Formats: sequence, C-alpha cells, structure tokens
Amino acid sequence: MFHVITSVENEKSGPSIPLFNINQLLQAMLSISHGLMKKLKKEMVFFHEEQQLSRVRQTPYMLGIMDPRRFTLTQIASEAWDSKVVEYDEDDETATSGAGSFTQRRRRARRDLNSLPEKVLLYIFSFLPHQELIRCARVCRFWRQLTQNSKLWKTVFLRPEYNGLHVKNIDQFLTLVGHRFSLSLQYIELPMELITADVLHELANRCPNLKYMTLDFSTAMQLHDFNDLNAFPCNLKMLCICLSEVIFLEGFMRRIYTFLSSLEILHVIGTIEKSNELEEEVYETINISKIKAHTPNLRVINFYGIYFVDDNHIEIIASGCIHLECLALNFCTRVKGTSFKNLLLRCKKMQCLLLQNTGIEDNGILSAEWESSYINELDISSTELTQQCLLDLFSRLPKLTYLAVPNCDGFTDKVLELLIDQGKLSNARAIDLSNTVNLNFEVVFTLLKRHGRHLQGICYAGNPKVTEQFWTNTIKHMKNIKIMVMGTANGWFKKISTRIHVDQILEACAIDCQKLERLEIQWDEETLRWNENSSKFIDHIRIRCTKLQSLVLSDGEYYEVVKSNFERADRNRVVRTTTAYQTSIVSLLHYYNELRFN
Amino acid sequence: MATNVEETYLYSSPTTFKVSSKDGEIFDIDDSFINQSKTIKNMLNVLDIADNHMPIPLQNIKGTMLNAAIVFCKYHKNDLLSIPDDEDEDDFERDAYEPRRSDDISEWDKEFIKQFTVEEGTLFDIIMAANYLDIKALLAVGCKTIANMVRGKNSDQVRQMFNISYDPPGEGLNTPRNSVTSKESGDNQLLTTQEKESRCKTPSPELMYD
Repeated sequence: MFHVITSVENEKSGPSIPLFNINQLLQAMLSISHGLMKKLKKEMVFFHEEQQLSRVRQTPYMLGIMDPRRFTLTQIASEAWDSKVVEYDEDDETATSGAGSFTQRRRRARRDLNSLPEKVLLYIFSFLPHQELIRCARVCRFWRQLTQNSKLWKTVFLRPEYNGLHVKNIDQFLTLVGHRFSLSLQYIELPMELITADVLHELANRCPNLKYMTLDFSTAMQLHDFNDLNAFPCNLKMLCICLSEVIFLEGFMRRIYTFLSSLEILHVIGTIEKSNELEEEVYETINISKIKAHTPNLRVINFYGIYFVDDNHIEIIASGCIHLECLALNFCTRVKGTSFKNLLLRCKKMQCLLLQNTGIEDNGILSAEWESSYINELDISSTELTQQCLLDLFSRLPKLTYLAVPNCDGFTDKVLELLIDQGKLSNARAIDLSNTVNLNFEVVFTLLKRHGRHLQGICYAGNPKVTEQFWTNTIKHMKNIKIMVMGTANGWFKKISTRIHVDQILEACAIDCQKLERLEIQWDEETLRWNENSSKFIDHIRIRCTKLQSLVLSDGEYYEVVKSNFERADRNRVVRTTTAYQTSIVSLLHYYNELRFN
Repeated sequence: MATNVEETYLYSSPTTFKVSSKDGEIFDIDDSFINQSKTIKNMLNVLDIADNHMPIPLQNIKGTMLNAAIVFCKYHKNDLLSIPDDEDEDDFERDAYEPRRSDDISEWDKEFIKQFTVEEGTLFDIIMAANYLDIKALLAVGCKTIANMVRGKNSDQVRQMFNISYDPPGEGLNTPRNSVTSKESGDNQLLTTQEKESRCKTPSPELMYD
C-alpha cells in the first residue's frame, strides 16, 4: 500500500501532473478514507524524517494512536522510502563531486536548460519577440519544435517598418496560418502585400479566435483583386485600416462590409504623417457612411489624421453608432465641431472625446449640450477655442477625470479657477497643462495643492517661470502620481535666467512619490544645476522609486551621469533623452488600450 | 493584502507550517509563502494539518532552493498578486495587445536572481522549484532572466551558454527549400546552420527580420 503512496507521491513531484487532486487520487487507488490516508501519510512523513535525520525519538503519542497492523505496514513503507532516499543521496554526491568526465557529463545532463518542463520553456519564450524566436529556432531541434508552438503566436506583427516580421513567400505563409496560428491567433497585422483574398480566406477559415486585425494599405500603389473575396474573419472586435493616399478602398471594403457587425473598435488611420500639407487634391478613399451602416456595435472610433473627415462624417457616425463611448479625431483638421450637438444628442454613452489638433471652433462647441453628456475625458490640445468658449464649455461639462489642454491659448487663469471652484477636477486622474502661455503657475499651484492627492499624471512643462521651488512645494501633495512632466526646454530661447537645482526635485520625488513610473525633466543642460554630490540624490530616487521605468532628461552631461548610475544597478533602459522620447499622460486614458494602434 | 483574506484562510488555523526539503532540512513557512505558492496553498486546503504536525515533505526541492524561495516570498509578501493566472489557458479575453516585457525585473529581484547561475545549474533549479511550488512571481523572474540572456545572441552563442548540444539534423520528409535571411552582418555561418536545421517536418516560415 505504501509503495503505491510513495510512487504516487513521486509522480506528483513531477511538474507535469497537477498536485491538488493527489489525495483524492490516492484515496481512489487504495480505496481508503480521507482521514485514514492522512494518517498514513503522516506516518510516512514521520518515518521519513526520523530515518533521514537519525532522530529516533520515541514519540509516545504517535505510537499510542497507531494500531499494530498499521505500524508494520508503516515500517515496510519507510524502508522502501529509505532506499529511495539513499538513491537520491548517491546521485547528489556523484553530481557534486564533479571528478571525472563521466560525472560531469551526467551533471550537465541533469541540469540542462532543456531539462526544464516544456511549459516553463514556453513561458521563457513568451517573453521574446518573434525576431528572437526565429533565431532561437536555430539552436536545436527541440527549440525549433517549441518555437513553433502556436501559443507563442497569438499576436503576430508582419510589418517590417513597425518591427514586424517580413514575409517573403506568401504561399508558405498561407500554410503557416493553418498550422502555426490556427486557434491561437488573436491579433494580426498585415502589410499591403499580404492582404490578398487567399490570406483573408485562410484567416477566416482557420482562425476563429482572431479578434484584432490591422490592415495596412498605406504603402499601396495598387489594390489586389478582391473579386473572389467571399470570406473574412467575422468575429473581429477591432479593425484598424491604414489608408493610402491615393488608393480607393471601396473595391475591397464592399466585399467585407457584411462581416463587420461584431466590430467594437474601429481605427482609420489617415496619411497625415506621410504627406506634405501643400498637396491640393484630397481623395476620400474610404466610405465612412457605408462602414457605419454595417457596424452598429462600435464603442470606440479613432480617426487619426484623415484629411477628408469633416463634420458631415461625424453626423453620419452619430446617426448610426449609438453605443459610441469614445471618439478620437486627433489631427482631423477639417472637423470644426458643428456636428457635436447631434453627436452628444444621439450618442448618450459618449465618455471620451479626443480632439487634439482639430479645427474646432467656438460656435460648434457652444451649441452642443454638454450639460447632459457623460463626458469625463477631454483632450483639446492645440486647438484655438477662446477663453469665453472654454469658460462656457467647462461650466457645463460634468466632472472630468482626464483633461489635456496643452498649447491652448484660451486656457487662462480664469478658466482653471472656474474648474477648481466648481470642483470639476476633484476626481481628476490626469491633467496636461503644458505650454499654456496665458496660465500662471500660481493657479496651477492651487490646483495641485487641492486635488493633487488623486492625480496620477501631470504634465506642466513649458512655463519658464516655474522653478524647482514650485515642484518641491507641490510634489508632496501628489503621493499617487505615476507620470510627471516638468521643465522648459530651450532655456536660451525662453530666457531662463535662474538655474534649476535638479537634486531637490529628485529628492522630493524620492521621498513622496513611490508610485512614480515616468518622469520627464525638460530643462536643458545649461539650465540645470548639479554637482558631484548629485549622485547621492540619483541613488536615492533610484532606490526609492522602484517602479520608475522611464526617466527622460535632456541630452548632456547630467543625463550621462544619471544614465550610468542606473546602468550600474542593471536598470538599463530607464534613462532616456528628450530627443528620442516624450512622456505623455495618454496611458492614463480609460480607453488607452482600445485606442492604441501601430 | 487585506483583500483576499477569506480566500487565504480556507485552511485551518495555524499560520506557520513546517516543510522539509529533499535533503532533509526543515523550514518554517508562514503566510507570505503560503499565499504565493499555489501548490502549498492547495495542499494545505486538502490536507487539513494540525498544529504540531510533521514537516510536509517537498521531495524534489533542495534546501538551498527552498530557503531562497522562502526569502523571496518574504520580500514580496506585500505585493499585489497582479500576475494574471495561467496565460497558457485558453484565455481569449485577455488583452491581446499587451506585450510581454522581460526588462521590468526589479532591482531587488535582479540581485536575488544573481546568486543562481547557469554554470552551476542553480538557475534551473530555482526555476524548477518555482514551477513546482507554483510561485508565479519567482517563476516570472527566473524565466525573464533567461529570456534576457537569450536576447540578442545568435544560435551558437545560445548553445554555448546553455550547453545545448547541437543535434545532427534528421532527414525530414519534405525538405523545404527556403532560406531565412538575416540582415546581420557577417552571419554567414549562421545561415548555413539554418539551412541544415531547416529540414524539419513542419513547414518553416520564410521570415526575415530587421
């Protein structure tokens, strides 16, 4: 009986079998009761310990409760166990003594990376990007087999210009879809060359769990022939279409409209980044009203940098997508805001409006009924609304959790005072006030002092009058801050005469902001004051702010000092320069995950 | 910490238990360990162990590893158990965008994992221990460390580092005629190895990476 227990016990040590039902298993095997088995196990454990450590203690209570029959059984079992233990010991000895090539080889065999369970190896591989995986496939056949596990291919990026893999042979890729991706595939990004009827058919037929798809037409000069296209993934939650400047997508789109009813998130990415603004002809390359007619369930729409989108299109959307919660129109310069009245009337669930760099004007904003909306996240960066308009808008809006107004000249002291007085920012999660030339830091100080406790993100850069004193006095009010951007770049231009003691800022963060994840200090080399004692403060923030994953500084000697300090502690990619990185509060948006593309 | 108290105390009263390692060392474990080790937690839920119990034998974990795991759990006892449950289960609801990061190991964890090395095999031992005890955070740290070691190395270097013998390529039934090209300079040797290895049953991708 004990042999069974020991063997099962040994089995359970193998990582492949889940352990929690082991006792039920034993009970079934030996057909004994739960209590009895526990006793038996205890006896085993007891004897094991006893013999192993030569601690022969005559424990009377143990003997007292055992009847003689079971005791003999126990002895047999413990003998068996004992021999097992001896085996183990020998093993260890030969392994650790390490003399002679034989034992060494044996030791190697025992402690190989590949001796780890497959599950663990897959877990390791899951941290590697696909480029690395392909390299790993060359290590040995076992690894090759592992890297082909479809669990590692849930999310596939195939656009080389966005760090994706490059597919050279489309026929082989087709077989891969069925073999390697199949049920696991959830997300795929296809470049122009791969958007063909064959590939889409294969994806539709083999990958029922495909939920997120990006179709990049941006490099297209000519569209493939989609006349044969009669299947398309139909469970999509998200579809992202990158438009081409000149190619009309209708030929493709009219084949897929009927498959889009499950869509919740739609991204249409325009060509603003690629073209110069002087170009005169603007083609409406995709038909928004037809899309809208087939997508009643959209929750999130993101039109990014599309020249032709104007208020008529927004009206069309408003008439069809009543479940809309988030609308992002960043860089759609033709949107003036006249459609917002109807938008807010129809889409009652609207919570998040992102209008960065749009052409919104006062009259459109003033006519919309903000007071009956649920909008709590608003981005009007770089728009030209006047102070009067903003006063009106904010007095009617409900409480805001996210507000971004950088580069808004109309956002003045008066506007912020109104927001503070009416308590509209009392629950604010993130605020961006950078480069607001008509806003004085005294009001911002009041804001941070009063509502800083809830804030997770604050950007307040570009005010040359703000010195380290402002921050050392406010940081202590922001215990929960995760993202912080401060400082003024180009000090020579803004004529900053005072110098900034950067040590004091770091110290304040180290003491009060343990949750800090991203910190950006924009003051440039000439403006920052530091000395050889500064490393003490860098150490301090490094040790105290363990969650800090990005510290952006302007390039220069101080940057080098901080960088090498962090690198000595093996935190390699934390310190960055302002030339390559920009910190923003967008990750604190409620819809951030839905809004991400590329 | 206080959030999942009810869940934690499914098993009966005593909050410290004894466990014994493969080489017979006995350790006291407390809440910090039990809460993070799913294996122990499940075991205790089933076993219903009395106060002055015998040590629970953990037959394939060495004393040194068990000790390290206990230290690790002590340090992380206040962490939120934020690592999601087995991602290899068919959890299709999980956010598919989220990239897996391996560069987010905390400083303490980095120091901690440094005591284990590939040469002595202890790094694998601690991963095995974490896997067996089902301590998610420790397993993640170990696996991320290995992933970071693999990162940016070519296959020869990886083989050398982990002492993986290069197994002679077998004769696959359908030998693909593909060649994976690489933009890395001076990597000719790698390319030939790749061609040899590519004789494999499943069709290989023609993928080129930047």
